[in-house]
Order: sequence, then structure tokens, then C-alpha cells
Amino acid sequence: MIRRNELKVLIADDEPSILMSLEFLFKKEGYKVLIARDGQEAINMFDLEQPAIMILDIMMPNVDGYKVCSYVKTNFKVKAPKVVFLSAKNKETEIEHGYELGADLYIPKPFSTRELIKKVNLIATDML
Amino acid sequence: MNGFLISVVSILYLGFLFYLAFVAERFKSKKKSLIDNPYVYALSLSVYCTAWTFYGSVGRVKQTGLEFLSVYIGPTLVMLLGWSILRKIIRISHVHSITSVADFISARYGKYRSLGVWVTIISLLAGVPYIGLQIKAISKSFETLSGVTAGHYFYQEPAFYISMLLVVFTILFGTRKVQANETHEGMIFAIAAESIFKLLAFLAVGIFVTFWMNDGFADVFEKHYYQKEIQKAFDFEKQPGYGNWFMHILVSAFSFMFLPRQFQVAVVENQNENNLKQAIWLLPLYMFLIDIFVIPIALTGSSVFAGNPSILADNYVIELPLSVSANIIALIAYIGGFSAATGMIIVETIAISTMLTNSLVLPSLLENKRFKEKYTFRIINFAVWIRRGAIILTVLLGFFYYKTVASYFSLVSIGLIAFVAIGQFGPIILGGIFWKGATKTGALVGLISGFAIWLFSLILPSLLTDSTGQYVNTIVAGFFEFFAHFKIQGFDDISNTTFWSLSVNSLMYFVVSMCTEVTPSEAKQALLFVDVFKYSTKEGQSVLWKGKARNEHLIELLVSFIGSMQAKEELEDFARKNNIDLKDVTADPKLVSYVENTISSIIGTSTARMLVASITKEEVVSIDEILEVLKRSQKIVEDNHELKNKTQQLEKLSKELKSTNEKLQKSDIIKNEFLTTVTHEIRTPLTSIKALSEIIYDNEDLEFDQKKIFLNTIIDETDRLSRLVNQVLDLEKYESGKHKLIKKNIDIPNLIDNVFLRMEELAKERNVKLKSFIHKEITGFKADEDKLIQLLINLVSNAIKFSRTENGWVLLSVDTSKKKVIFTVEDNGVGIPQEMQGRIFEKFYQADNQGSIKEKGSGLGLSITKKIVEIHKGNVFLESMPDKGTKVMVSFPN
Repeated sequence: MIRRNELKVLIADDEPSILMSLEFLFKKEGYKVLIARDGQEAINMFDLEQPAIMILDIMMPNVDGYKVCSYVKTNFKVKAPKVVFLSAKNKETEIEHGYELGADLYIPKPFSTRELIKKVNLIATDML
Repeated sequence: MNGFLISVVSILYLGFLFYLAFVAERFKSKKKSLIDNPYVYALSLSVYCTAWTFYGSVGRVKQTGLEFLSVYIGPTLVMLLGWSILRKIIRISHVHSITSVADFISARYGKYRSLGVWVTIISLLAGVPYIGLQIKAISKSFETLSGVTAGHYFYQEPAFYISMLLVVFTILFGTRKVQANETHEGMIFAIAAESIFKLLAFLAVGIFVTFWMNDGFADVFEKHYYQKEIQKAFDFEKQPGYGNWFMHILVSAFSFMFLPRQFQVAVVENQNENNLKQAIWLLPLYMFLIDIFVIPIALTGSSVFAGNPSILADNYVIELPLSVSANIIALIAYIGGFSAATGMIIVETIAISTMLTNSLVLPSLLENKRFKEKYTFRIINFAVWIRRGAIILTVLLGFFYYKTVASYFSLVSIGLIAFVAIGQFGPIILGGIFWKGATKTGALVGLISGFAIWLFSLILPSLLTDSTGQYVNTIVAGFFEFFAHFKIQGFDDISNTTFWSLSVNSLMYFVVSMCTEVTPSEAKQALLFVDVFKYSTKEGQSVLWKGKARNEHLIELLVSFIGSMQAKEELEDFARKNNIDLKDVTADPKLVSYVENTISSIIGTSTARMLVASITKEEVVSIDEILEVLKRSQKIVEDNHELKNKTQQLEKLSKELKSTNEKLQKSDIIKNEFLTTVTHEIRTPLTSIKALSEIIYDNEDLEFDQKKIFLNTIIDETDRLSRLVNQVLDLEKYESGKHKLIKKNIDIPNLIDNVFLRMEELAKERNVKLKSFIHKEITGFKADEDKLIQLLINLVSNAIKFSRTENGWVLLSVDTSKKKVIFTVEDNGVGIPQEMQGRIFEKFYQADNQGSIKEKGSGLGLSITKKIVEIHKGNVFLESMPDKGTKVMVSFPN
């Protein structure tokens, strides 16, 4: 818990209300929170800030979450961030596709906030 | 011009014909046909235009003006108006394996041999002088071009050697192979090529004379019409009247169909009935082209050679180019005339030799019992050699005629005399295919009486006069003077004879037919001919044979004609299709008919009939039995037809079913997609609501402002959710047709106020100005007000959402035109990219350029808008320019 504020979490979603709640949640847990409103912004932000964890929506304008994931996972194999998909797409094939692209976690919407935080915290602990 | 050069050119030309014929035969052996198309068919029909056309038309113009056209109008009328007759004759001939016009006529009247013999004799009498005329034309044109008169003896004549070459050609390509359903592929292809040559040659001369020797058509008349002779020829008052035209047209129409060579190309060699459809206009076009320059050549010639009466008008086509030393044009003219003459000789010879063999010689030989017993199964060898002999004989007779008699007649008169003789076939053929009551005796009496009149009035007078034009003795003179009383005023000899011979012919045919019984064999053929379209398909005919036959005899007969290999193949095929066992001793009547039909196509129907009769024990089939069989076969034809219809219906149904199924599957996919999207759209606000509620629940120490923002968002998202649910329900209602339209009169200004009132808040929030304009006062517009408001709110709110942040405005205007009321919602906002404009009315399609912050909206608004328009039977149009704005027009019928 001590050094969690050194971990950057990037949240990408095109729904302002979801962004709002996620931002609140992760800040409260002590993460350094970055916000992106679509896929392109998420990639730009990643290049700039190198977050450790990315929470990605899938259906976003311009560049979707799948593409963001495969971008970060293929181009930065060693220092690649952990990717958590947070999506209303919850067919089995879609979930599998997410994992195939290298995602570390796939949580369907609507999600439980407590569960989400618990799981992300576990990932963070592994990293520290 | 050098005679040797002309000989070489002539022989080279014939060599080229041989080459073309070989090529076509080679193609045929590869199962490809060069002649099975309407163009070659029409060109082969143009064998009608012989040397008579090529040289004689010009001469005819000088005598009788425009009247020369009548012999081309006849065929043109046959093609344009009488093509269905020709089609019927073609169908009958295909079904019955007819090999010549004599065969056709005798087959129609119960395969009556005497009729075939008479038709053959008349054809020969008309055909030989006609062939002689062609040889004369070749000889004269050769003389004209070379300037040398040929020697008196036949071996000094180039025309003799050319005739012999034609005999070789005809034997090679006319009797090379004898096979069932034979067509002379090589010959027809060469003939079609000849029709092109003669047309091009005549056009070349015509263009040379009209545009080089003169300055066009008008100039021809201006310069040359002064001649008294010509003026007389063109003066209708001084010409024998319209009766002549009518008679010449009639007789040429008959000749176009029934001249031996015309029947050969039009019917026997016809590959496909459908080729006739195009020939209907192709042939008249050919006639028009080959006639167009006749008058200019005649006028110019008679003016140029006015002082030189020894130059005959028949020779103008060559003499005119020669007179200005245009030797090449003269040579082209010669080749054209040469091709016209040789084409005629070849086809006529084939046709006449077929008739001589099949209708005259073979049946006569088979009359002889000893011959029949000995040679029944070896007839084919005789057939080939008799045919070859007949070809040589026919051409030699033609040559003989040319050397002895031809000089007394002009080209055209020989042609027309032949036409009248052939015209005698007209009544009995036309009667035969349309009138079941005709009998063979009637046909024979009609034919012979018409022929006799022809002989008396057109042939005998010239044979029985001496060189001064006096009859040889007083008895003869008295005889002809008696008949002169019958001459009709205003008719020329040809028309006079045509009128009397055809009238008497038809009358005798009718009266004698009425007085004689129709025998069963005649009745059978009558039914099969007259009702050919009813009883037979293209593939075959009904079996009307009764008696006893042995399979081995039939097979042996067939083998003797087509060889054991082919016979085996065809028999096995036939047996399989008809469920016949060839190993049985007694033959099936179907096989008897089949064998007879097959050998008919080789040696003609009468000979085939005799052969089959000689190897079987036949019984007379009564008319009742015939009718019974025909009724059954008609039923089969009809059933087939119905079956075909049913099959087509079924095919159509299954196609419809398939497309419905595809539609269903598609709509299934659409429904699935819709469901997925709806689920997704519902989950999104649910997610926010759940997350925010949990946060508030878990964080009791939340700051007041923060809490308020979260609660507010929850409320917004709940609204969004319920809006979505409503819209989905609306859409479902419209799509399933469960909606109710409550139409009432719409007060437009009130409507706009209503819409703007509900949009006020959103507009203020976005700093967008709302404007409205009513172009014309609209009364009596009826619509469902609630739905109309919903629609306009959708459009206006969309416009507000995508309008500019500065100086943004939205204009709602209403106009009316042509029974339509049009609402337009216009904004000056971001616009919609071209590629998306087509899709924005799709469900859940939200244009991608909505900025990085997604506009709140279900993605169903425009779909609902469209549905509302549709159920009002209106239309939506969209115009949009990125960065300029968007214009949505909705029109309703008023």
C-alpha cells in the first residue's frame, strides 16, 4: 500500500459517467489516475506517461480497446502494462479475443466496484 | 482485257470457293457450324439473285422501268408477311425428313409417287433453261470483258470448262458424304460468300457509275432522263397496268419459296427455325441494296451507248466501266456476275439432282420386282452414283440449252418463264399445309393443268414459229388464235399465263379434291402436315404404322444406309429412349417409323416408303385409328407443355421460397444484432448506475458536492435507460405494424411552438438559436400529431446536439408543393461525412465524428424518425456538408 501512489492507472472509456466513477475509485485507492476518452487518446497518453495498468473499454470511437491492447502488448513486450478490459461486450468469443490479445483481466459490465478494485489491487501487488 | 487473265481470275475465284467449302466442312467435323446463324442463312437465301439480277435487271429497266422491282417485292413480302408459312414448311420438313420440294409435295399427298415425278419433271424443265441462262451470262460476260468471241464448238468455250469445274464442286460438296439428316455445310457457306461477292461487286459498279461517271443520283436523272425510250419505260400510263405487277409479285413470291434451289437453301439446309426470325429483315435489306443502283446504271448506259444498239442493256454492268477504261471495275463486275451465276448453278444442280434421284430414278427402279429383290439393301450405292450422274446431266443439259435455244430469249424472260412453271407448286403446297380435304388426285390434276397451260402459252409458241414469227402451219395458227381470245387486256404474256395457269390449277385442285375420297394414307399425312405444330415437337412425330416387321430386316436396312457403327449407336440410343428390345423378332412400330424417317432424309420419302413397305407386311390404318393415335400424341404434346409450365411454376415457387428464406435468415441476423446492441446500450447506463450507487454506499464520508454530482448522474442515466426502453418499444411497434395512427388536422404554427417549447432548454444549454419559417399557409394537412412532434423533436434535438458552439442555429421550416408538405430541419453544425450519410438512419448507427465525447443518445432516434415517416407514406432526404451543416427534409403527402 505504501508505494501504490507510484503506480499510474490509465482509464479509457467514452462514457463520462463511467469515467467519473472509475476515477473516483482508483484515486481513493491511492493510484495515480490518468483519463482517456477514446482509444487514440489512450495510446497517446500511454506513449507519454507509461502507465503500469490500463483499464480499457472496448467499444470506443476511432480506436477500439482491442487495438489499444494489442498496441501496448506487442510494442512493449518487456515493460508492457497490465491490461484490464472493462466492457459491456460479454460474449464468450469477445472475452476470448480479449485474452488472446494479451489482456490480463476481462471484467464484464456492469461490474461490482469492490470486485474490480480487489482484482486490480492484486495485480498491482504482483507488480510491486 | 486479256482472256487468259480473266480465265485465271475465274479459276482462282472458284479455287477460293473450294477452299471456303473445305473450311466449313472441317468446322462441321469438329461439331461447329459456320452456317447455323441468321446471317449465313439470309445470305444463302440470296441465291435468289442470279445472273438475271446481276445483268438482267438493267435490261429490264430499259424495257419496263420500275417493274423490274416486282420480282424483289415478292420475296420481300414473303419474308415480312409470309414468314409463318415458311416456318410451317420448315417445321414439317424437319419432322418428316424432307429432301426436296418434290419430296415435300409427294409426302403431303400420301407419299404419292406420281406427284413427285411430275414436280421433278416441271422443276427440270424450268431449271435447265435457268441453268443455261447462267452459263450464257458467264459466257457473254467473258466475251464482253475480253472482247473476243468464243469459237463455235463447245470445247472452244471457257464457259464449258467452268461448267465442268462447277460439276466437280457440286459433286464434291453435294454428294461427298451421304448421311442421315445431311446438310451441305461447305456448299452453303460458299454460297453465302458468293452472295457477299455479288452484292459488293454490284455496289462497286453502281457507286462507280453513279458517283464517278455522274455526280450522284440526281445528276443521273438530270443528264440521262431525256431519252424517249426511258421516259416511255417509266411512264405508268404507257406501261401494262398494275395487273402485271400483281402477277409478277405473286409468281416471284411462290418462286422464292418453291424454286428447287430456294427450297433447298430455305428449308432443306435450314439448321434452325430461329434463323428465320432475323432473315425476315436481313433478306429485304439485301434486296434493297442490290437494287439501289440498277436504275442509274440503266439510264447512264442507255445514254452512253445510245449510238450503239449492238451493245445490249444486259451487258451495261460490264460495258459501262469498260467504256471509260475502268478495267478493274469491269473485272469486279465480271466476278460479281460470275459469283451470281455459279451460286445458282451449284444449288440448283444439287436440288434437281436430289429430286431426280429420290423422286424419279430410285422409285422407278424399285418398281421393278427383280431389282427390288436384289438391291433393297444396297440402294445407297445406287443413290450416290445416280445423284452424281444427275448432277453431270443437269449441268450438261443446261449447257446444251445455252448452245441451242438460249439465244432466242433475254435473261429476264427465261427467268420469268421458269418462275411461272414453279408457281404451279404454289396452290398444292399452300393448300396442302392448310387444307386437310385436299387429295392427291386433286393435286395432280391441278398441277398438270397449270403446267399444260404454261407449256401451251409460253413455250410452244416460240417452238412452233419460224424465224419470221409465223406459225409453222395453219392448224397451229388456228389453235393459237383460238386461245388468243383468252388474253386479258393490259397483261403481258407472263402475267396472262400466270393468271390462267394458277386460276385453272387452283380450281381443278379444289374441284377434283372435293370430288375424290381422302384415303387413309393421305388423311394421315394431311393431319401431320396441317397440324404440324399440334402433333409434333421439333424432335419427332407420331407413330402411325401398323403391320408386321422383323427387327433384323429393319436393322439391316438402316445399316445399309448409315453403316453398322453409326446404326448401332443410334439404334441403341433409340431403343433405350423408347424402351424397345432390339433382340425381339418382331419390330416395334416406333422403330419402323424411325427407320423410315432416317432413310427418308437420305433418299426421300417416297423411296423410303417403298423400301420399308418391301421389307414389312403392312396393314392399312383406318382414319379412325389415325385420329385416335393423333389425339393421344396431341395429348402428350399438351401434357408436355403443361408439365413444362408446371415445372416452371415450381421453379419460380422454389426460387421465391429460397429468397424468402434468405430474407428470413437476414432478418434473423438483423434481430440478433439488434438484441446485442440493445443489451449493450442498456448495460452502459446500468454500469454507471451500479458503480456510482456502490461508491455512495461504500463511502459514507463522501463530500456533499461530490455526492450530489454522483446522484445527479444516476438520475440522468436512469432517464437514459427509460428513454431507451421506450424507444425500443416504439420501434418494435412500428416495425411489427402494431402502431395506431390517429390522424387529425395539424395546426402548423401551433405544432412548431409545441416542438420549440420542449427544445428550449436544450437549445439554451448549447447556446443554439432556434428559428422557424412557414413558406405558405398550409390547410388540411392530416397526420398523427404526437408522432409528428416526436419526429420533429428527434430531428431538432439532433440538430442542436451537432450544431456549432458559436453562432449555432437551427431552422425549422415548412413548405408545401404538389400535394406535399415538407418539413426541413437545417443547422450550421459539424455536418455528416459523405460516406456515413447513407447509414445514419440505421439503428444504433451513430456517426463517428461526434467528437471524442460521445453525445448522449440511444442511436435509435433517426430510425424511429424514419419509421414515423414511412408509416405516414412520406420520404426523408438528407443533405449534409462536413463543417457547413446538415439539412434533413421530410415530406408527407397532403
